[in-house]
Amino acid sequence: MFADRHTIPILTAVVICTLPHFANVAPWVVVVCLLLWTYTAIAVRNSWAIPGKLGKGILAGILSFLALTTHEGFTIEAFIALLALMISLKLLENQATRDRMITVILCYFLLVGALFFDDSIIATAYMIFAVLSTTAVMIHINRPNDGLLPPLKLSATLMIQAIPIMLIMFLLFPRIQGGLWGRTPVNSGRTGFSDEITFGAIAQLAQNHEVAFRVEFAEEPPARDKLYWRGIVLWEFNGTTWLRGSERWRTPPSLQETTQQISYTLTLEPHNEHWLIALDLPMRVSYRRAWLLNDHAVYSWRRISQRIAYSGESYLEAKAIGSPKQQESGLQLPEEGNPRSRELAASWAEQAQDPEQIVALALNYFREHPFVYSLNPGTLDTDDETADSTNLMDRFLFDSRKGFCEHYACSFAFLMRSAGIPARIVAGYQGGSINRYGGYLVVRQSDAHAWCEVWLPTQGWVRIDPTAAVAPERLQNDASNVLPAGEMTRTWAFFRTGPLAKWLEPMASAWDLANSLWNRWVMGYSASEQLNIFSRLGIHLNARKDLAKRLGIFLASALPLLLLAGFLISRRRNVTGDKIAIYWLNFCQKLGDIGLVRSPGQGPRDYMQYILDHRSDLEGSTREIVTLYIALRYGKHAKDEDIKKLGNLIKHFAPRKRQTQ
Amino acid sequence: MSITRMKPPSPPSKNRSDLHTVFEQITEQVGQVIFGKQEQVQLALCCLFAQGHLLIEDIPGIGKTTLAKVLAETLGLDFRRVQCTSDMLPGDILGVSVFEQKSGNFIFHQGPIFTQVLLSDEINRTTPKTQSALLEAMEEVQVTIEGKTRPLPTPFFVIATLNPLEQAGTFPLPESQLDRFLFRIKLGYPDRSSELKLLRSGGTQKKSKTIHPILSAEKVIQCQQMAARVHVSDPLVEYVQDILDHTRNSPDFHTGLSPRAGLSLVRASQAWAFINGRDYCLPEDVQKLLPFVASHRLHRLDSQAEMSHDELMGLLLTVPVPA
Repeated sequence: MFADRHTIPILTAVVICTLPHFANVAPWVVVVCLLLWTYTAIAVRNSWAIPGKLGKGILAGILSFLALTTHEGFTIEAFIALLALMISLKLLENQATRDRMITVILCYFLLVGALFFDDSIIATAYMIFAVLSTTAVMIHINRPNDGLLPPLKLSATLMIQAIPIMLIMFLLFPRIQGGLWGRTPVNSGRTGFSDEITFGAIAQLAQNHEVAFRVEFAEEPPARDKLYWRGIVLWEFNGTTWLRGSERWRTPPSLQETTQQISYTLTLEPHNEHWLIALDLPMRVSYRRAWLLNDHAVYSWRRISQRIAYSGESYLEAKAIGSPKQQESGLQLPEEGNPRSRELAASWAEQAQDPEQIVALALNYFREHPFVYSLNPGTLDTDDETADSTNLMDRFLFDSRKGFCEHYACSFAFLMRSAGIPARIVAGYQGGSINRYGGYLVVRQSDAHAWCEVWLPTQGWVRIDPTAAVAPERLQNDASNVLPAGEMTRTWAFFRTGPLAKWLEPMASAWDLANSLWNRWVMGYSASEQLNIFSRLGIHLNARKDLAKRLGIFLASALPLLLLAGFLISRRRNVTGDKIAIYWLNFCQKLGDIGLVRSPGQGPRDYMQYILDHRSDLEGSTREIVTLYIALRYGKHAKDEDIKKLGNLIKHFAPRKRQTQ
Repeated sequence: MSITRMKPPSPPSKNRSDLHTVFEQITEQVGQVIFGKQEQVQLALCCLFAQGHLLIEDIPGIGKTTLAKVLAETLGLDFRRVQCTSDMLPGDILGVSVFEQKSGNFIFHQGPIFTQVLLSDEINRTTPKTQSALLEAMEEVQVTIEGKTRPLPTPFFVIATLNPLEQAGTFPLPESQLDRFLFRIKLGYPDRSSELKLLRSGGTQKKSKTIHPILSAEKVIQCQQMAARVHVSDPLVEYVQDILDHTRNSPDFHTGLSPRAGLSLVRASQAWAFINGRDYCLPEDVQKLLPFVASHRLHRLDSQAEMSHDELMGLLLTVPVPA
């Protein structure tokens, strides 16, 4: 039968610890967990019999097989799913205290697993709550008659008591820089753009207000319309999609330097791609195993699966000098398709004397025709399978004339290439908003943007943003302010422009600042920061070589604390200043040191017998001390001089280890 | 039925060590009849001095009745025996008023309960009605028959026996009734040497004639009063409370020990210390007696089975003795 008073608390702990993972595991896992929980709850209510071992065994086998095969191999998600399923299944067998303890202890593993996916302030707060309640359930299992509140109180006390140890662990436990020991990439729940662009790709991001990255400028931030954040550079067009292309130029890029150099530190949220973001035009980015490619994109050897911070230097007005190879790649086009666009481009090429004029004609075309900046480009969506996917450029340029930045950038690049001017597409972000309290710049996914770069013989690669020709306001504002009314989600519109915006905006800024500080000082506390603290204290260590020393420092600071805790616990009963007890414990300690340990349940007379059985040579002193102790502790009248005498006797009691057995 | 039937030959002095030798004499004398059961004899004595009642659970033929009888004689107390049966009525134990034609009055005939040591054999064979009549008397040390309250002789000591094997046709004592017994002990088979001795002696019946009283009713009452005055120190009370607390909070038990069980434990420890010639209690006294006090009061959580002696000793290992 399901034991009522234990199962429901354990079920609660399991639910609390599993909930954060619902977004991370396959939907069927969620369904199975919910079914198992419901079954358990109903079984407890109706006192059903516990299912047989065979059935549970078979179910466990099937579920583990499914968990490991439906999560793309041995990923973290697969193991989390496995753990969640097995814990939920374990609910069906918790008759013994041991089973209950195992179930609850496993919940802690689920909690730790949640940190792989989300380490924000809210997630951490939830985790504290979850640890609190799980510990309370564990206490409840062992002291079932205490009711609800005392276990929670005790659990909270335990957590508060753990704070000093936590701080020492956090500050001093040797941290190992990323790399081999860093966490493996987690695939779900990451947004951002991939390394290709189709129509609608960036428009999807426009509704997403998650933070993409935060930037702190060394000096005054540049004007908003100058803030082009370079992500990836796309070279190859296959008729529907712009791709990175197969070539990788890792030769150092060259650029025409201008005067205004900008230095900044950028904290990038994980997006699971190889690209780092840098202010256009980047000259140097310092991050381990990241290179500035020849097209000024920054490529990281490792996928960005966790939040990283790096510093960069950029020149705002600089222009990249293209190599002949780049010029050749910048002219690549599919053999056929979009004939009207090609015709238009060819006509410009005929009219114009130089490439600059062609660019001007093209921009004029966008300005003079009724192009609309919109999230809903109608039938152009490549997701729509019924739509004709060829001649997308023609349909955009001549028919629909409604599109988001990628439509303009892609079609512009197509036109340039058709007119014989090398062009490439840059995808990244534009703008950002300054946090009013932190003074740093926040760039969100909704700031995602795409623009063009064309190669002009006299200048090199020049940035052309055709979106600016259609919707010049975009450079001064968020996309949400420029888009036609009704295209943004209602909540966001309410937040940005509604009656409460005046109060909501500062709150949002403060919250973002809190997150930023959290990321930087708590989650971003890395090996190098740790070494910084050490060197400030005058200890200069090397991250790789001095691991043993760092461990030593940690142990040296943690041990006294643990010893103090142990001392306090062992002396807890005698805090009242009971001298007899202190003397007696001292006596037991001395004997314990030579191997005659008093077990907790041993009374004084039994202990004496035990000592005499092993060491008859100690009889005289032991008998005197124990007799006096018994008389003082359990007798009717304890005289002060007798207490003193006991203290003296025990002070001079020095049993030695037996030399020969 | 006079209370002092015989004069004690060797009156115990106030001196504790002298008392201790007297108790040793008692144990020894009972031991002449019941071989190899010194511990049980001491426990029975302890139970008497703690003013409790004793429940002996064991199979027939192990010497329960003999023990009770010999103990009563050695202590110089009256002894009566009741064999409980299922057709027994409360009046069969308490007594009845009978109409006497000569005088035309109802004359009360005392039942077997009017004695100092009552052996109630196989108490679980009689009906709950009779059981509760007996147990009520045990608690109140008086009986009320036909509206008239009659005090029972003092000291009043009930030894009840239970046969654990036969379940058919028995009325098991409910937990509330079991709680009235201070101790529950088992006699167990004699060891080899004791049994050889027993077999050679050819039974105990004739030997019991050689038993002479060592104490008297007054002396027993005196001893009970002295036992109640044995000093119980604060650390000992804390220790007992820790044990009670442990049984209440540990997941192993169905319900923890009641405060009455705690009081019984302290009282029994006092008596035990008294028998051993001390005027203060030690944790060892509590540890020694806990299994006998608790075994019929504690139940395991999972199986509802009673705790075995060893399991109760295991409990003691986990509760630390205060320093």
